[in-house]
This record gives sequence, C-alpha cells and structure tokens, in this order.
Amino acid sequence: MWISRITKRICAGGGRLEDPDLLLSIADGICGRTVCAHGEGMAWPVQSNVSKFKDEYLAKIRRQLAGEGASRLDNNSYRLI
Amino acid sequence: MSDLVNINIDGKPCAVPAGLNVIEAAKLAGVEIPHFCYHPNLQVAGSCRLCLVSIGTPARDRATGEPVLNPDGTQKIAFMPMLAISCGTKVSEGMHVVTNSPQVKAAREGVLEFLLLNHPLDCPICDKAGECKLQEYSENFGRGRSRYVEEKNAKPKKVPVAGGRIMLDAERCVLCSRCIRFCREIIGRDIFGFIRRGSKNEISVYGDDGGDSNYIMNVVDGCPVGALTEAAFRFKMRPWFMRVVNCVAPESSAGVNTNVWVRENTIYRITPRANPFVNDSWTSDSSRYEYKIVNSDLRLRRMRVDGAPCEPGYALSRAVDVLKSDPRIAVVASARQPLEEQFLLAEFASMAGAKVYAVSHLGEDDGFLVSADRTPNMRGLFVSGLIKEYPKPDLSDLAAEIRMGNIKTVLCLCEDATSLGLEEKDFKLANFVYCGVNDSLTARLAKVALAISSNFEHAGLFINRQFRLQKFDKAVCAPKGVLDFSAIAVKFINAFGASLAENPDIGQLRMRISEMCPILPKGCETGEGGVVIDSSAFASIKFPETKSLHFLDNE
Ligand code: SF4
Ligand code: FES
Repeated sequence: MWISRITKRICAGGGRLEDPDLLLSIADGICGRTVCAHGEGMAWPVQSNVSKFKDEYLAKIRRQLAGEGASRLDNNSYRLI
Repeated sequence: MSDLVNINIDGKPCAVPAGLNVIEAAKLAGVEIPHFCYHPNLQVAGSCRLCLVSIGTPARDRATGEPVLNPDGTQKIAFMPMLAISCGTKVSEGMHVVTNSPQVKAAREGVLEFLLLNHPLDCPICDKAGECKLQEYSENFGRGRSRYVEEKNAKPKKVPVAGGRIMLDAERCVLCSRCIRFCREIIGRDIFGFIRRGSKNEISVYGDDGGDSNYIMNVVDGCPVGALTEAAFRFKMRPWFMRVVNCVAPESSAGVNTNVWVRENTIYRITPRANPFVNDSWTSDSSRYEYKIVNSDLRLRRMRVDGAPCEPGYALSRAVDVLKSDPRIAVVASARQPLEEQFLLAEFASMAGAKVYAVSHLGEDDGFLVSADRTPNMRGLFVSGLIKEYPKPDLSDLAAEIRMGNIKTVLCLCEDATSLGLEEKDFKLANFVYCGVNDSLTARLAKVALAISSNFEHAGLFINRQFRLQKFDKAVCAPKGVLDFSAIAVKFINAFGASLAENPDIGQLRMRISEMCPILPKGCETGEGGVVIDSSAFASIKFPETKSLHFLDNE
C-alpha cells in the first residue's frame, strides 16, 4: 500500500528526491521477513526496478520539481503505475 | 525438572530447559525479545514478525557429520541467512541467538514502522497508554519517526463488543490475532476474525459477539494494544497511577490469582495474574467485579446491638456477654473467611465447647475457572479442623437443635441464616451474634451484629480446590468502624480464658497456625504460585468440583 501510494504520488507529479531510496528501503523491510510469500512477490520487482532505473526515477522527479509536473505525458507515467 | 540445554544468547552462555521457545529462553537469560502475537497460553501464530532474531546452530560437515571447527579450534556456528521468529523456534543444544545485531534492529524498526502506518497515533486519548506494548516497543526498538507522508486508512472505531462490555477500535489493532485465538482455543468458538487484505486488513466481530461468555474480557488483557478496552474501566484511571496488589479471587474454590488495581484506597479494576498451575493467564468476567462489595449498599457498616447502631467497643463487650451467657453454644463457620480467621474460630469453638456448623454454596461447575463450590476456602474449614464432613447447603440441623432447646447462643459468621432454614422465631429461642461483611435480615435480628472487613481489606490465605495454599494481600483499608474478624476473634478467645496478643500481626498468626497444623508449611510460606499441601487426610471427603483447568486433569 505504501509503495503503491508513493509511486502513484510520483506519477501524479508529487515526487520527492528521497522517494526512490525510500521505496528500496521499504522493499528491503519486507523481503525475508514476512510469513507469506506474497510479500516477496511484491517486493522483488520493486527492488530490481528501482535499483536498475533509479536514474530515470530521479530524472522524472527532477523534471517535476523543475515545474513540468504531472502534465507531461511521457511513457514513464505509465511504466511506473 | 526437564532437561537443560546449553545455548548462547547475545554472547552469553546459559542453560535453559529443553522444549522452551527462544522468547521464553531469552527471558530467562534476561534478554527481552519484543513480540505481539506470541502469548504463553495460546498457540503460536508467528504472524507479527516482531520477534525476528538471527539463530545459528553448530555447523556439521554434511558428508561426514563431523563438527566444523573455526581456525582457532572452536565450534563453527552456522547462522541462518534469514532471520527466524523466536516464538516459533525451540531451543536446541549449542544454539546461538543474536538479538542485538544491526540486521535484527533493522527488522524490528521495519515491522514497527509498518504497524504504525495506519495507526492513529492517539496515545494521549487512548486508555491503554502506559501499558501498551506498541508504545513500549516503539520507544525501545522503533525508529522514532515515520517516513510515511501519504493518507492513512481509516478503520471502524468505538465498536461495542460483547454486549457493550468491550470497546473495539480497529485502527489501533496490530493484527496479532491473540483475541481470535483466545476465543477459538479457550472459549471454544469464533468471535473475532480478520476481514479484508493487505493494508485494509482489520479485526472484526461476528454477529455472535460473545456477550454471553463469562470469559470474553480476557481478550482485553490479552490485547497488547488499545484496540480492545474494557468499557467499565475506560477513562477511569491511568495505569501508572495505580498500585497493583496480588490477590486471589474469592469467587469460587478455583482460587484464580488476580491483580487488584488500587489508587487512594479505591479499587478500579481486577485483572488476572498469571499462575501456570492454577489459572494460566485468565480469569472469569464475574470475578472482575467482586470488588464492588467494598462500597456496596448491602454492606454492614456499623456495629449494632439489639438493632440499634453503636460504637465498636460497646458492641464487642455486649457480644462477649452474649457468648458467655449460656454454655449451649454453636458457631456457624464460613468458607469465605481466610484460613487464619478459621483457625481462630476453631480455637474459640474448642475453648467455648461450641458445636460447629457450616454451609456449602454450590453452583454449576463451568469446567474452567468457576468451580461448583462458590466459596474460596472450603478446604480451609477442613484443614483448620472446624468440620469433618462436607457441609449441607443449609442450616436445617442448627434450626432443629435450636428448636429442641439444645442451642442457646450462636456465633454466626457471614452466613445469612434466615435464608438457610432459620426463621425469625428461632432468633427468640437463641441469642445470635452475627459477624459479617453484608447486612442481612440475620444481622438485623441478631442481638449483636459486628461489621467485619471483606477479603479485599485484609491479607489472608485460601486453600483452593487443588489443596493449594495461596496467600493474598490487603488491597484497601476497611471503612471506619469495621474490624478485622481476627481482632474480634482474639477478644472472644481471651474472654474464655486465653491470653493471646490483641490485634495479632498476620505473620505471627501464620507462624502459630503452621505450628498447630503440621501439614501447613512453616509460617505458611507459600511462595509465588502457592504450595500444594498434603491432602491425604481428606481423601475420603466428597468434594463437588469436577474436572477443569489444571484440576484433576493430570492426575
Ligand atoms: S484487537 Fe488486539 S488482540 Fe485482537 S488482533 Fe488486534 S491487537 Fe491483537
Ligand atoms: S511473536 Fe513471533 S511472530 Fe509474532
């Protein structure tokens, strides 16, 4: 829930520069510590996606912070939902 | 005692009983492992993940089975790559447990942060504050601040459960499932359940919300947080203002151990005190409100002579006159009095040559913690030698003797004789001295009525259905003008020629009765959980209790 709310916020134009690290740290907090394997099933994609494409996350957030905001319809907004 | 195994917790070697789980073992070693879902008397759920620790066992070579050694010759410990739950792991020989590594710390911080995501953080207006595990653990093991900036989920609040006796606040729930397991395992039916998934997961109640159960309140004590609170106690008193007194519930011969919470001579609530030999961690709901007697309207508050209120000193001297007026005397003993007072009464009975009567108070045995004998200390009447046979539920024998003119004076303790087979005219045939906590028709008809302290107002000993001697402490002071029966009894005994010290100290009393009665331990020392005394002398007596928790089940 937390992760989806953060990603939705980023897509909606409210991203913060610390968000990618936060996403990773949340995913790390789930992996290997849950009773149910669904936890890892949800955390692994986040871990790989955010660590591999962190620069793209940051780039998008920077553009938002620079005032281009959510109105910009690039493919990123779809990829991140 | 069971076998010991050697384990190592945070670098400290210690020996603990085999078969324990790691949480309990660490507790013995003085290391606290935070936990929510684990409860010593419920099955392990392993769902909260707060108790994660790293666990390692001595490494062995897979092929040869030989122990693998470190270069310095010590046994190599193979730690599991993932953290393991300490509630669901049993100790084994040579096990190493690490509870203070950065990995464990991070896991705890993570779990606590997740739990607090949708928590309303309303400690100042939460009744559990001060005894809430989430509060304590967040303080001791949490991150200190949340990184959560999104909207929180709202969940139902102030839901009345169990016919309004319990308030449920689902937002504060940490989803430990203790309440669910308690109802399923102990009450025997499903009352609570989880609904929805993920972050919307919430605790909820079925249509049958357990309002008719006499044990449902135990979920309030079991709930580690403020999700379940007792409606009667809500917002009455903060836990840190109260003093806790160790008592034994006078409700029945089960002898449930209780904590009585007191502030400034007022009792605010009664909760169970864990005793693995008697009541585990539970008590009945009915026993929680027994303290109401202390301030009840039914209470006898003033001494009376011939129906007119008077000062204690005068009433006592009149009582002595009445008791000495005729040697045809009887005493009605009470199984509700502590053992010390029963011994004093027995002493009085033998000095005065009195016949002894008693009454049994029977009810239905619920097979758990309310037993058929609704008096806390029937065994004490036998041990103190007052009676030899299990008493009848009424006083018809005494009534017959009075009507035949064989009994002229009666010292009646606590029992309301008028509801037990005696009639108003019998009070003309014999002179009654009544000593009781409650006012009753007997108290009004008696020549002298003496107000005595209730079991919350003095310390004492009870012997429960297992012949377990248990002591309880004094919770509050008796109202002005109300005396302890032990002080009254000493006066009576001295009036018949003995010279006991007035206002006896409880320690001296206990020492004396343990000298009189060899089956009692010296000074009646009972230790923490009480001691079972030798009951072989009473083996032929037919007691009414049936098999229930820790009673007759392992014999
Ligand atoms: S209501 Fe309390 S006992 Fe029940 S699951 Fe929630 S936190 Fe646990
Ligand atoms: S106490 Fe071990 S998982 Fe909850």
